[in-house]
Amino acid sequence: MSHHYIKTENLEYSYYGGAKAIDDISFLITHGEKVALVGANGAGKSTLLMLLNALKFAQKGTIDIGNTFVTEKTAKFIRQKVGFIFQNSDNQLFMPTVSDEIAFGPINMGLPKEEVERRTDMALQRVGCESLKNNITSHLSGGQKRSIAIASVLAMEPEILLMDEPSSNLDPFSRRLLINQIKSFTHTCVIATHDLEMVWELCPRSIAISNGKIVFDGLSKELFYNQELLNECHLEQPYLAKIEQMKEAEKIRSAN
Amino acid sequence: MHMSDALLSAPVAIIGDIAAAGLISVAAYRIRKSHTHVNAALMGVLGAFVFAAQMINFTIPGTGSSGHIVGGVLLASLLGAWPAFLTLTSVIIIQALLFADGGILALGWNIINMAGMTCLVAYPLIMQPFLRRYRSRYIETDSVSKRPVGGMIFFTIITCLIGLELGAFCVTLETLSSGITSLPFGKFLLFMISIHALIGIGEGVATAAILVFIFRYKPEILMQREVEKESSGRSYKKLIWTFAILALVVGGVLSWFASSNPDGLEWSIEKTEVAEAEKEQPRINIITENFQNITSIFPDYQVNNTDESSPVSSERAQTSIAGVSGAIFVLILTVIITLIINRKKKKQSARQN
Amino acid sequence: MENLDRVISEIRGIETDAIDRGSRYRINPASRIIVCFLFLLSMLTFSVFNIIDTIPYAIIVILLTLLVNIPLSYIFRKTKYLLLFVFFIAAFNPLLDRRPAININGFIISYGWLSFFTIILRGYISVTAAMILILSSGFIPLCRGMEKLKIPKLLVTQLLFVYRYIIVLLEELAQIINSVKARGYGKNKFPVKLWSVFIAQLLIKTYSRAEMINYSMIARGYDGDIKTFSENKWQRSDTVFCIVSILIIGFLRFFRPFVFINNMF
Repeated sequence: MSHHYIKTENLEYSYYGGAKAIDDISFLITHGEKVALVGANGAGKSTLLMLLNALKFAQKGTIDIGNTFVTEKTAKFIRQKVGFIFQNSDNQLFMPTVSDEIAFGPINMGLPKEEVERRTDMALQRVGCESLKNNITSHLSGGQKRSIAIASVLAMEPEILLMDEPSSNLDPFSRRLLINQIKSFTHTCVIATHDLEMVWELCPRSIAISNGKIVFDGLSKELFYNQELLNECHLEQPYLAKIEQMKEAEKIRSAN
Repeated sequence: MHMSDALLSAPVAIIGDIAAAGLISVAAYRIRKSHTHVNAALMGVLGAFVFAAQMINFTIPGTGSSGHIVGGVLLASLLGAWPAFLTLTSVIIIQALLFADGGILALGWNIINMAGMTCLVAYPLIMQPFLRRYRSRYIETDSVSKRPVGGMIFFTIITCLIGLELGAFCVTLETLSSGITSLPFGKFLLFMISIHALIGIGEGVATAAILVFIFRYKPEILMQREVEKESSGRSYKKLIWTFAILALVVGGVLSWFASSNPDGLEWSIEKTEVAEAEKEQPRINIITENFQNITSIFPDYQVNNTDESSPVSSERAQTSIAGVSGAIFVLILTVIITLIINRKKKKQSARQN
Repeated sequence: MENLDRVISEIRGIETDAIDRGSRYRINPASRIIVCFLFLLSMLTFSVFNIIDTIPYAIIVILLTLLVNIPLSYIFRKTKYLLLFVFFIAAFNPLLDRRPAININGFIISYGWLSFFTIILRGYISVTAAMILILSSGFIPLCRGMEKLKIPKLLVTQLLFVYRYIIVLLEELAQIINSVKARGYGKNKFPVKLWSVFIAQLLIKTYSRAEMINYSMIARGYDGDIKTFSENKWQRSDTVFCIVSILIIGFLRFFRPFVFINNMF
């Protein structure tokens, strides 16, 4: 259980041209935590997630996931432990049918056929999409694609889940389904998002990134009441926070 | 340029299929062993890209007509010869299956004519050496505006033109050697070459326009070198020989077999010495005979050895017409019955909704 | 634009309709491919003048369209422009090949006309057979069948990828074109300068997409070889289907029904 932690130290990543995408980032996320990763577009959220999933490799600094350092050698192992759900589900789902897609990960892990099938059924059940098992991937709706993308990652039974803007492009119904799904997960979750209403519901802790640096790491509620920080990260205070603030102000006024 | 099955004879079609199968196997082998920047995802999506690009026509100035690209030279410039060949092959197969654009047996030659000639012949001969020089000369240059595009445009057009003309030439050869058409070789070839000159230049201009745009705004796509690890060439030469021999054997067998094909009228011949004489006639291989015709100066096309120069006697004619009309009658009857059943089904489903 | 929409919905239709059209018959797609291939091959072994032996093939495919619910009008609609090239080539035959073949009281039908009709008929038979194959199987099962027939896995994977992303790319292209049309451009064809701009845009987007897809594959353990468990075991019904079909094809090719019937009279 204690293996589900993510520890980064002095992480640095630069693009080919030299521009720094990630500049001296350090944090510790422990088992079972659900952490929101917020920041403006281009702040470095997606890049950071890809570093955590060993899809990209940092030039400086270390990433320690459950006592294993992320290197090119350990990449395959890390990628099984850390599942990544992409922002664009069309890029994540590339197999012709849903069952092929979900089975892709387990088959690559070398599991036997029965185990692959068990995991496929289990993953579909977790996201409530058992009826879609034999569907064609291209024909799924946006919300369905998102659910199947999550299922395809869950089938690998990762310990940590990384999600890049999971609620973007979803209609309210699908978004609610997604939030409920994430609520039911016991995995350690790092969710890069602009959807502060979702953060309010799911993530007690937030890390805010601006220009590749961490500008805030603490309770989400503290972030929501910090207008300066919200502005720096191009975010707006969620309504629930506004209402809480108004309630607090009302309490104080009625106390006086 | 997609050929239908109807334009080919069995031996020619099979030779094409086997040859294409050979090329595909070699391509799969070569791609697995080398090409580091090319992966399944890139080839796959670029295949879908070519397909989509073919859906939008561009106008050809001065003619009032429009056309679309084939994409062979574009793909080859992006991916390298063999991956481009395989990608375009997949597009051609999908076109044949999903859109009935080209026959199933004709797939072999269609792949060779369109994908093979552009990606495996024209591109390596002309475009590839140019791109290599271009890359090595400009890979250090940061300033995009300093890169001259005249050469790019010129070589792209030449490559597309030659690739498509080679394809047109092959179509001509395939159709003629199948014994399908009475068109004389010279005139047919001239016609095909001139039409495809226009198409080739159009494709060249369009491809060049795209490549220039890419060079200006996203040169890293084109600057990737085809890193070919030196794999032992011998291992796939064996593969090539296997397919070549297989093609010749099967083609030969089929042509011998097919050369005994009747033209459907022989049952109208009275069972007299005429029939006996027929049997004694040596079976001439259709392919060799057609090659003779190609090189002959006679404009008329002759096919079988049966000497049908004299008009048929009326008695033979009676039985001939009876047989053929009987068959046609049954066919028309089948079509009518099918149309009636289709209409009934339509009404039924309309009533259900 | 309407063209693109139509193409998109047709491609979607192939998979969903296939269930209605015959994949319920559960014949292995691999055997369907073999039979289709042999069917067309045997048809082509007849002489190009032999219309009488080509007609049974036409009758069989027409009856098959009934079995798999493909209306004939659909076929004619789809092949309106495709057989243009065939027609064009075939049309020269009656002009150039005037050797008389059949004489009915002075009215002569030449070999050229016979070959013309045979070629056109074969064109339609070939197209119909292809449609029956794809519409009765569905593209994805057909690809699995190809794999079974030992077609290189790289090509089959390629076909599946192209099929997976065709609709995505067509929709992206449609968006780009809509943005052009929304600014007043009325026609469906574009001058090369404009055309190349949005095709190049699509290409650049495609490259980004390819990169992300590759990441997605790597993130789930892809190591260069797409592994799948083979489904669609060859069953006894498939063997029966193959044998019966080959017998029918042999019957058409060697027994030549119409000639036989004619010789009886």
